[in-house]
Amino acid sequence: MKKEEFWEKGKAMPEFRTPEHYFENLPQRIMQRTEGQPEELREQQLQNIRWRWSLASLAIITASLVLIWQVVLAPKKQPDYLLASVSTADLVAYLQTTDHVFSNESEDYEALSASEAVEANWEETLPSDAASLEEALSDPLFSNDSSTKKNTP
Amino acid sequence: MQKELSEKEEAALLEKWQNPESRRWAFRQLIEAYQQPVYHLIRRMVLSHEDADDLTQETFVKVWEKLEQFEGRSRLYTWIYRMATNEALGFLRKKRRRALLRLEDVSGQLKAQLHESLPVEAEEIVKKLQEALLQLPDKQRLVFQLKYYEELKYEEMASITGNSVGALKANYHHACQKIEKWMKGNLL
Repeated sequence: MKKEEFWEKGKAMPEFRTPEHYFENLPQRIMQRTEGQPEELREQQLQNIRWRWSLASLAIITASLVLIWQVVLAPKKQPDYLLASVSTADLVAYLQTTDHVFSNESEDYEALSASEAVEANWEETLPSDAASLEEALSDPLFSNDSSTKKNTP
Repeated sequence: MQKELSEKEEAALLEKWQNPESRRWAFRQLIEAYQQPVYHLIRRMVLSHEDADDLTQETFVKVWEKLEQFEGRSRLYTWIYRMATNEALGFLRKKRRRALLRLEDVSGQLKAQLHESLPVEAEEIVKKLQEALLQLPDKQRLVFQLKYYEELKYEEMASITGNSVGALKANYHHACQKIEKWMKGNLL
């Protein structure tokens, strides 16, 4: 079958089967449904619409407030912004105070370095060969053994 | 799609509608004029008579409720068909969503309903074309129905579906291509 023939024949749209007298009764059924719409129902529908609009407005206002807060207020909490609001005199005073703290820290570093040097020296004084090390360790001074301790003066 | 009322007749009915005393009479005239095209438009989309009956009633009830909001920027019948198509597409969308949750096959159900709905004497090619239509997405099927069967102008279709004329032309062209391809494998 050719395409044109198919499209021509296919157009004969069949009417779908409907119950007898369906279209004679349909207007009455619809009219009854429109009659059955009391004013209260219409008022309720209006209330629902108003309620939805109120919710939508509330949501928009909330979203706007959040947006304003994000755009306008939030940057004021950024460190750069906060630092910019401090006067130069205050900054200088602060730095002078904290210099003392930093100098204490450097003293700590120096003390730590000194203790590390002592440890390193002690390692250097250890005997280099195994026999001397064993002999040194057998000294009652290094022993934890209680029996040995008894013999010590 | 049969336009049962002329533009003048529509305007006259709307005038009657404005008057509370003749409002119900005017609405009844409107139903009598458009019940069949509205029903058939919906029926071709949902296929089952029961569903089409519910949706047709729902469409007219909404027309009754919202007719006051009709601004007359388009013809009244396109406004009514727009409501009908929205009802049908919304119904199918919900049905597909429910079916997805229950792992049901909506296309299979529609195909079964199609065979029940078509007259026995309908030609084989007509039945096959209807089957081919079920392969299309719902919106594309609607576009095809409006153009091929109802022979509406693209401008009228645009007013009903809310799509641009260009989009509708492309949609119809693709629908025809898909149908031809399907038919080649099944009939031609």
